[in-house]
Amino acid sequence: MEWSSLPSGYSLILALLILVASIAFLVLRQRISTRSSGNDFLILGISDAGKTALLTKLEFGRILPTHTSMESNQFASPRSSSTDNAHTGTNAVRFVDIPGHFRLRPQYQDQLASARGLVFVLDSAQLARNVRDVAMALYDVLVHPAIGAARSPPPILVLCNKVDLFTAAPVATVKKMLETEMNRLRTTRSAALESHESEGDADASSGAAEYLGFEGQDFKFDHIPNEIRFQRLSVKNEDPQVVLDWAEENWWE
Amino acid sequence: MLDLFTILTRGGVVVWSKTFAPIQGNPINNLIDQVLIGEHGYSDKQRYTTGPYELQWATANDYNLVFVTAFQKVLQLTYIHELLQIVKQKFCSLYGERIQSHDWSAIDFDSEFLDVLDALESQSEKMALLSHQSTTKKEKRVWDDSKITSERMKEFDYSGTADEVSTGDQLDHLVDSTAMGQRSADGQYSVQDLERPSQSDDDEDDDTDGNQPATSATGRLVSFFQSLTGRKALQESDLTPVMERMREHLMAKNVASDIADHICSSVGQSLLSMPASALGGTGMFSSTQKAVRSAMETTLQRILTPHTPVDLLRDIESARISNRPYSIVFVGVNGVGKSTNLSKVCFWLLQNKLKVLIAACDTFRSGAVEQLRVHAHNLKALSDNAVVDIFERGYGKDSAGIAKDAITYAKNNQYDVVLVDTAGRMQDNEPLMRALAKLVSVNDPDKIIFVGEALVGNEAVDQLKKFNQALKDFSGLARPRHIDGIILTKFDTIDDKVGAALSMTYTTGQPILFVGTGQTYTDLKNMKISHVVQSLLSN
Repeated sequence: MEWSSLPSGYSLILALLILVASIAFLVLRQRISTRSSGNDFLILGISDAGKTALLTKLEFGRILPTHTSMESNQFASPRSSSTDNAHTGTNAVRFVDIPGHFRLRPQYQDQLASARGLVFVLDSAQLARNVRDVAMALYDVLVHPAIGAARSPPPILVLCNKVDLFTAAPVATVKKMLETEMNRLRTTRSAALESHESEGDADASSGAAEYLGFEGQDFKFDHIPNEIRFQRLSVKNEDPQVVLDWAEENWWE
Repeated sequence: MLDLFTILTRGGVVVWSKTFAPIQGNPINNLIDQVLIGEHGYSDKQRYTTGPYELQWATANDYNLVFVTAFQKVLQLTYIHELLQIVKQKFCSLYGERIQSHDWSAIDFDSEFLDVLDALESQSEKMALLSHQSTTKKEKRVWDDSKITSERMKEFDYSGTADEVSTGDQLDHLVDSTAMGQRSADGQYSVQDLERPSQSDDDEDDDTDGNQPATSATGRLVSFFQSLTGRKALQESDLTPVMERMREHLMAKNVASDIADHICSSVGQSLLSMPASALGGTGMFSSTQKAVRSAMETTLQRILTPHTPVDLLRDIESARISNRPYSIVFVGVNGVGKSTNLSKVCFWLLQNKLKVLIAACDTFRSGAVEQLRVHAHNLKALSDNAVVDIFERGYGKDSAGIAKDAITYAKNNQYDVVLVDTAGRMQDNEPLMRALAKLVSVNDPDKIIFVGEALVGNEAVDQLKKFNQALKDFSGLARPRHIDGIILTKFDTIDDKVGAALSMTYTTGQPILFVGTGQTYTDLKNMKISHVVQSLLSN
C-alpha cells in the first residue's frame, strides 16, 4: 500500500480516521440488530418435535433432513411480511428455531425476552410417552418473567405436529393431557426446595416463586394471561400456512 | 466400508449426506446428545461407539459445520481421520460461501467425496497388501538334524554388512523430521519444544496462513483492525496462555485437575478458528480473554444442567399411582453426612404429606441405628400427623435383606417412600462395594443417590468412578444400575470453591439434586446453577 511511504504523521491521522469510521459503522450495525430483535417469533419445544423442520419449511418451502440442534437457527435475514411491504420497509417477521435439548435450554432463556410470539411445537404421536417432558418445557416457558408477567404477554401458538401419523392424538386430547400434567407439575414445583443463595437475589428465577393459573382451581390454559391457540399441522405433508397466518395476525398487535 | 458420511450444521440441518448401507437407529443423534452437547468425558478422543457403529467426527468452526462418519465398529479403518480432514478442507473451500448464506439447494458433493474415499481406500488396501506380502514371503523354518549348509548360515546371519547399516533408507522412519530439534550455532542440539498434543494438523495450517501476513507492518495494522472489528479468527497462539491461566483458575476453585484439563481443551477447540464476531454477542472489542470467559460460561452451564429433568416429587407421585413405594438408596464414603442428609430429605418429604419409612441398613457402625431413631423421633415431633417410621433389624445382619424386607413392609403398610441408609464405605474396599452392589441388584431401587462432600478436590472423581464401576461390575445384571443423582453436603463451608460440584456432574453426567447447607432439617437446598457458574469464574 502506498500510504506506508507517507510521513508517519499522515499515517497516524489516516489510522485514526479509519478507527473512527469503523467504530461508527459497528455501533450503527449494532443499533440495527438490537432494533430488529423484538420482531422474532421463537420456535420452541422439546427435541424431536419438528422445530428445525418447521423452520426449513417456512423459509425454504421444503423439509431438509435434520438432527438434534446444537445451536439456534435463523436462516433468512429479517423478512418482510406480505402486508408490511405496503406500509413500511423496516418491520420484518423472523422465525428463530431454539434447540430443544434439555441441557441447552438455559442458554436461550434470555432470548425469550425479545419474543414477539412463541410457536410451541410438540409431537402429537409421541405425546402419551413424553407428556411429562413436554409439559415441563411449556411450564418453564410460561413462568418465565418475560412471558407470563410481561406487560403485553406474547401470544403462543401450540402446534400439534406429526398429525399424519396414525397414533397422533387429536388437538382436544393434547390440550387435556397437557392441562392435567401441568396441574400436577404445579403442585410438585411449588413444593420444591428453594435454591441456595436465593435469599439475597431479587430476580430469583428458581421456579419456586412463580405460580401458574389460579390457586385452588385445576389448571386451565384459559387462566394464563397469554393468548394461546392450539393448531394441528403435519409439517411433513402440509403447507405451514397456519403459522404464517398466525404470525401475520399478531404482527400489528 | 463406511456406512454413513454426513455433513450437518450445528443447528442440526443436514447439508449433505451419503449412506452406504441402511442405518439402524439414529447414531448421529446419539452422538450429538451424549458427546457434542453432553460433553461427557469424550472430548479428548474424537471417536464414539453406539450400537453397532463407531463414529468419528471433525468440526469446522468457521463455517459452523460438523462432519460425521459412521462405520461398523468391528472394522479397523485406518484412514478415517485423514478422510475427515480432506473432506472438510474440500467441502469448505467448495461450498463454504454458500453454507454461510444458507443456500443449501443442490449441493452435489457426491463425486468429489467418492474420489477422495476411493483414493484413500485403495491406498490403505495397498498398504495392507504390502504388509501381507512381506509376511507371506518368509519361509517356514525347518528344524531338523541335518547339517547346516553355508547358504543356510548366510540366511541366519542377520548382522549385516557395514555399508548396509550406514545407508539411511530403513532408518528414516525412526526419526520424524518435523519433530527434529534445532542445532544452534555452536553445534549444540536442542530438542524441539513440546507442544500441546491436542493440536491436529489443520490447526497448524491455520497458524501459518494466519500469522504470516501479520509479520509485515501493513499486515499488523490489518490484523489489528480485524481484531477490532471482530473478524479475525482466534489462533492457537493467542489462546494457549489464556487457557493455561483458566485451567489454573479452575483448579484453584477445587475442580479436579484432569477435569479442568478436559474442559479447557474442549473449550479451546471450540474457539479455534472461530471468527471473534461469532463469540460474544457484540464481539467488537472483545479480547481473547473475554471470548474464553463467555465460552467457558456456556460450557460450565451446560455441564451442570442435568441431562434429563429431575422432579423427585413427580416421580414419587407416579409411583404412588401405580401403588408401590418409591425407594431411594443413599450411598457414599464414611462421614460425608449420609444419615444427616437422609433426615433432611425425609423432612422435606414429610412437609409434602408423604409417608416415609426409613430402612436402617447401616448394620456396621455402632450407633447408626440409634442415630436414625433419634431423627425419626424428632421429625415426628416437628410436624403434625407426620408418618415416619424406622425399619430396623439390629446390627451385623445382611443389609440387602433388610432393605428388601423394608420395601415389602412399606408396600403392605402403604408407605409412599422408603429411604435406605447404607453404611459408609471407602471406594477401594472391594468386599463392602460388593455388598453394596448386591443391595442394589436385589432391591432395584428407584434412585441411587451418591452423597459427597463439597470439600473434596481430585478425590471426587475417583470416588464416583469407583462407585459407578462397582455397581456395574459386581451387580451381575444385564443392565447394571449407576448413580442417578448426587447430594453435595457441607456446601456452606466452602465459600466460592465450588469445584466439587463441577467435578461430580462432569464425571457422572448426573445432576446434583440437593446441596446441604447447614445443621438443621431445613438446610437442604436446590443448587442454583448460575450461582455455581459465577462462583467458578469469579476471582
